[in-house]
Amino acid sequence: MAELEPEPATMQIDTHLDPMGAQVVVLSGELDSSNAASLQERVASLPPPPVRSLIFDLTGLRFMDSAGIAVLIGAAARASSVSLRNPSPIIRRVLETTGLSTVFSIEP
Amino acid sequence: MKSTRHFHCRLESIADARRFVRDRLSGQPRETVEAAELMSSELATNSVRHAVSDFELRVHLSRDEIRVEVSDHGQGQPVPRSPTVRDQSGRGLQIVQALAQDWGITPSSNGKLVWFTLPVRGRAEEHEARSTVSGGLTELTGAKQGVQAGRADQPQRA
Repeated sequence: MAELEPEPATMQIDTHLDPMGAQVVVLSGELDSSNAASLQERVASLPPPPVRSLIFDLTGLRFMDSAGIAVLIGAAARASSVSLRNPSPIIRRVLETTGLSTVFSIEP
Repeated sequence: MKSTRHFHCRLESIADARRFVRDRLSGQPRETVEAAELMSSELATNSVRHAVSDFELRVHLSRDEIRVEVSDHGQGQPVPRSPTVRDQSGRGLQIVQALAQDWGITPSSNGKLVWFTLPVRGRAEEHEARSTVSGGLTELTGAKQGVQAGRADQPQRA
């Protein structure tokens, strides 16, 4: 089979405050070790520290591996609470089997 | 069906490796494809980041089983760790352990091969769906056998 040019994972990050004052980070695309650092930098730059409540909206995130989970855990250490909104079934399964569903609140 | 592809040692190859696995397993249930994709991503990441090596990915799709192999030239042996919920790293092989039917590491003369398997579920589900519609005795028997085969795999996945 002929080798194709590798296409990197692409991810979009959008941030906003919700009406309750929680910081929302909306992720879409694919999150792996090729782009986890860019999410880490974005989370670290969120104003104003310390963040009280952080919500990662994963509705549009098609893929995440342990590199992405590592960033979420890092974010959890800096916020009073971290919620994950609409993780895909496979992400949900990984969070449950690794015991991480106790670190995040998972919505719904 | 067997497919093999070589990937260069670069972070961009990891997404490419996932795409390769997804394409090879098209037609399999979504849950199976996503689990294979995730585990392949973890193994490809280990090759690129820890072994710092090109890697070769092989997908074997047989009647009953999906087997994925990732081989690289890294000399070190990956060791599954038991990270606490606050640890940020060490989760790659933990995820493979959790999702695979079976998995293992085989050292070779010039590196190592890490593999995992998943059961092929499509056949059992297909039989079940057919037996629900027709209620035919033959197909019902087939469906039961399919379910039993699925259950027999459960302890290995615990």
